[in-house]
Amino acid sequence: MSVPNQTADLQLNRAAAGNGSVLRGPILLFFVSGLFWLLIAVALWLLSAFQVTDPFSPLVFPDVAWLTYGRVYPVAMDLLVYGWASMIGVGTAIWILDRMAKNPFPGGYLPLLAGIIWNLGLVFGVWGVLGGGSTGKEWLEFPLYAAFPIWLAEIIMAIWAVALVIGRRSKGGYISQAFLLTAFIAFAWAYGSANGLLQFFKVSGAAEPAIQWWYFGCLISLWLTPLGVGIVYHFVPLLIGRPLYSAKLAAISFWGIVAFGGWTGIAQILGAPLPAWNQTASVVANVLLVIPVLAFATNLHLTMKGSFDVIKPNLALRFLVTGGMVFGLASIWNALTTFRSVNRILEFTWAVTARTDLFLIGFVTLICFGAIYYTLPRLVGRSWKYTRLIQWHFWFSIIALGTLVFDLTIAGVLQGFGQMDPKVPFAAVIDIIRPFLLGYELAAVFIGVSALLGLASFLTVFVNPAWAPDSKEAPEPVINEEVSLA
Amino acid sequence: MNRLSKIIGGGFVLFGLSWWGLAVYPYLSFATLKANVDPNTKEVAPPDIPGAAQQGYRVYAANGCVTCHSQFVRDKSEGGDIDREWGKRRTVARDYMKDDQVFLGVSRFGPDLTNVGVRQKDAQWFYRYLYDPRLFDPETTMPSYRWLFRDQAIAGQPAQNALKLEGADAPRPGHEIVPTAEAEALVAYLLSLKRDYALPEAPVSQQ
Repeated sequence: MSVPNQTADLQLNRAAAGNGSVLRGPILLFFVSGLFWLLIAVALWLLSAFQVTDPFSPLVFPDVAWLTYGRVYPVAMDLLVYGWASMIGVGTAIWILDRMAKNPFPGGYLPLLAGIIWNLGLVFGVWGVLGGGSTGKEWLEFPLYAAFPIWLAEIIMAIWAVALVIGRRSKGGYISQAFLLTAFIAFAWAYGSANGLLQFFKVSGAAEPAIQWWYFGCLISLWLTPLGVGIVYHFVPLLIGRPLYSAKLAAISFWGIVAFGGWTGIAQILGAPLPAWNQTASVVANVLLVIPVLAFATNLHLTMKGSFDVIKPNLALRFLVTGGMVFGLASIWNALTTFRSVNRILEFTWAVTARTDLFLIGFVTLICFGAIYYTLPRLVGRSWKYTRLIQWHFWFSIIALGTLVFDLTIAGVLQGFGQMDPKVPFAAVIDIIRPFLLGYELAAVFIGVSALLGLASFLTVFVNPAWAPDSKEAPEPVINEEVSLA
Repeated sequence: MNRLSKIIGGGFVLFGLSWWGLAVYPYLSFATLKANVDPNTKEVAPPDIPGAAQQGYRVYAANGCVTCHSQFVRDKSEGGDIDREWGKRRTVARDYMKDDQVFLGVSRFGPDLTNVGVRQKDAQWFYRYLYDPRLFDPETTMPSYRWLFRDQAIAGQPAQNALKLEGADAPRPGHEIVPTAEAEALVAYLLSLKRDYALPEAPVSQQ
């Protein structure tokens, strides 16, 4: 249980964060691409939400092959994960790892190369899936010619990260370093072996879904989770100027996530023709995963204790802490719905979609925006001008998340009980949830608006006031109490 | 340095365990599966997949059918699938041993398709359903797949597999709607989805 103490993170104080390094370009590339892919993802998601309600409306391109629901929705989800969340996560990870390593030769061309290749992979992926080249495997739809570049870019980033940490000048290590390195290595392994086995070696039969859903567990719990947790562990102490409350809790959260994360995926398809012990192990892992996640949430809470009043004015912190707390909730909800007695009702329903959305739109997306709000001013030397806009962005994100998750969860529960009763015809089950599909459309609109608000505040970078790294004022978006909503 | 190698090493071991348990183990244990031959009837289960259906996997994958349709039947203790008559027994690994591509699916926004070839044996039914699902349910949430069909002038005799369409969907006079090779492959695949043979490890439940 040797995870380094976080205290030393604080030595990299706010002033030290001015960024004139060669990594500025690569990080900005990742940020701008991430936001770009978020917009495409949200636009496609919105289209797919309207298609679900009325697939024959002339507004949703009913006769256009490349805009059919079965292509559009998967692309939206893939872009949300591999475009938006991954690219912002990687960009922020570059920033954090570089700060912590204090390495004078950070090899900036590697992240730059990785960013370019990653984007190419996404372009090929969108082209491939919309054009009819999808593999038909959820979360792994990208054909080989798109998955390979993404994997290659990831390998480059993993090599860069490991080399940077090994050759670092700073003494000791930090908990966020451990999380970010784990994410890079685990994702390279998981994405490479899943695509390699399924697409290159063409494994067939029931082993296919085994590999596919093992991969999904890794994608959520060993890629997006450690990226998000690593970001929170690094930024929150910096923002409130206080060390993490407990290194021990941090160690529990780290080893717990690493130990249980890889086992969580199979619980998505309980009852499938897979070895019984695999399914039991996966249910147990999903339940046990609550321990490290609660260790993280508790640590976050105790670190914040006494500083909670900072959440309101400091919007970067507000995004990050809310994201962290939603993660705790999402994990508990995930464990509860994994129990077989609950799962047998909710499996195959929209409630399962809502469970993943709570993680992606709640935890991951909020943290990505928090990271941008913290990092961008330091990258470009400008602070935030329109904090009101960011405040609107925050509240719209919360409204969108709430609408989406509540609506789909209630729909899923009704759908689940309907499906359990063989006397209810299948079409009647869909009729029951029809009103909720309208709520889903509304939620998709809210998500679109919050993404646009996020983009708008990102674009204010051109008019934001200059900020010098050695200035005493922090560049975070801090709202003036007088104009705050409360 | 020491701590770092411990973290990376420990992470590799812990992560590798899940890889072995959930990806490699099922692969190795399913690789040894053999078809079941009934000692009396000499019937092979599962049967071989017809050649025409082999091409259908790609069309099923390309159009994202798995986004709304699942392809596995859970045990009675795991859910209501058998009560809903989506299969007489749960599906097991052997059911999929001859499949090139497996699309279990995690959503049932549309009905389960494990045994759709048992419920419907008529290719024409599938063609019409894919061409315009509203013919069967005006309120359906299933989109149409018109690009899998072709509008062509009738030359001599009408084509045998031309779609029987009426009303708004009817083709222009002298024309007919026929399935493309992709539609034929997809429908051959759907027709092949019949897991109604007996397997000793998954007896038909007796209630």
